[in-house]
Amino acid sequence: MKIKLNLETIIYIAVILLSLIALVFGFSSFQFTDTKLVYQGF
Amino acid sequence: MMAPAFSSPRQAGAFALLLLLILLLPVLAGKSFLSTREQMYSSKGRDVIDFPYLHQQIFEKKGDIDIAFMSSSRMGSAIDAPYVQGKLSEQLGRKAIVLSLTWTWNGYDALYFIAQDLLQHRKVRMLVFCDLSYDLSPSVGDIAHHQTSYWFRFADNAEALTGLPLKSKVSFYASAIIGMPRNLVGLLRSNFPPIPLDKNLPAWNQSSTDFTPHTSAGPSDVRVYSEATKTSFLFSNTQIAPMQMAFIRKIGLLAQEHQTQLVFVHLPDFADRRAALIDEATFWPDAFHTSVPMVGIPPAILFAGLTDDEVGKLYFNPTHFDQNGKNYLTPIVTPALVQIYEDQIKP
Repeated sequence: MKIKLNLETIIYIAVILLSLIALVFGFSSFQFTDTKLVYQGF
Repeated sequence: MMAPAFSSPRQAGAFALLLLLILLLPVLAGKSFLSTREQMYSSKGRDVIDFPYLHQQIFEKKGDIDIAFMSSSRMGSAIDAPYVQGKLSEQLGRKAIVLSLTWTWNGYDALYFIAQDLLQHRKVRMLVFCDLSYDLSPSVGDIAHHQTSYWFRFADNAEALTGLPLKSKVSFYASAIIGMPRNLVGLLRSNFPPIPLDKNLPAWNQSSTDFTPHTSAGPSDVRVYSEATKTSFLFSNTQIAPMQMAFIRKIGLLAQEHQTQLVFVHLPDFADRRAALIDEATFWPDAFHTSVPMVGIPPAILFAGLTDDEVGKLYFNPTHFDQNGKNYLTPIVTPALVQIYEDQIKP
């Protein structure tokens, strides 16, 4: 399937990329690494 | 058929812009769109860390601090700061100021940022800490402390990220993003003053049963590392996460910059109760690149003559002393700490 690179496609690629970056930040923080360890800390 | 996530490309574009804005907020806000650092500490209650107390001691109280015990809850559970203050006051012939500023969870990053804020506002002559790389697996040891969003702001602290692994930098930036909404709200109004502390003491300040151990251990059994006492220490060279090592060096530099004497105190776990030596992860003066007197007592001497059940009555859990343990340990180690203060601190 050939994807046409028009404005709409670029917008959706941007949404996907930014969502992935947000996920990387989310999973990089302590709470997402090992919830059990966090609660031990409390 | 599943409904599409966006009703139009325009809506998708708006979502992308919103995400971009959120992700860039720590950079875009700069220092001009941040509340004061005081508002960070006072924006949190006492549920996880006693932030109101940290706020009070850093930003409201004035005057020099003779000894600050700064570390995780393991330190808070083991050392009775008012007792040390009493003994130091007797020795100095004036009222000494001795504080315990502790928080939950390990990590030298927390010590670095909280100590940096404290030292910018108050002179601390001696800073006593315990091992904060303790029990941090390599995967967790390279990630920012879980309360980082309350003391790390990209515009204020970005320089502290120098020399950290990429994974650590990402986790700090993520914490800065999490902290941004609260910082922005802090611009609009001040936080409420803290609710006075009542009897809701931390769990480790309570003991299920009062127990006073009768042992022969005393202050003379405490070792301060030197040529004469080095056989009582064991340096197991445990692998310390790169981020922890980076912050250890930054703390060494911070202490030198503010002429603060660092002192390390070994706190034994229940599991180490029969150990004949003071087992340390590494030789701390080399790690900090500065003078760090190391104080400890071999657990086998500290708990000599006590059954496992009796030792258990000194612990809240396997890694934290309880009130019995605090009452037992503090008088034993205090003379060594007072002596180090006298030897190292110039009047």
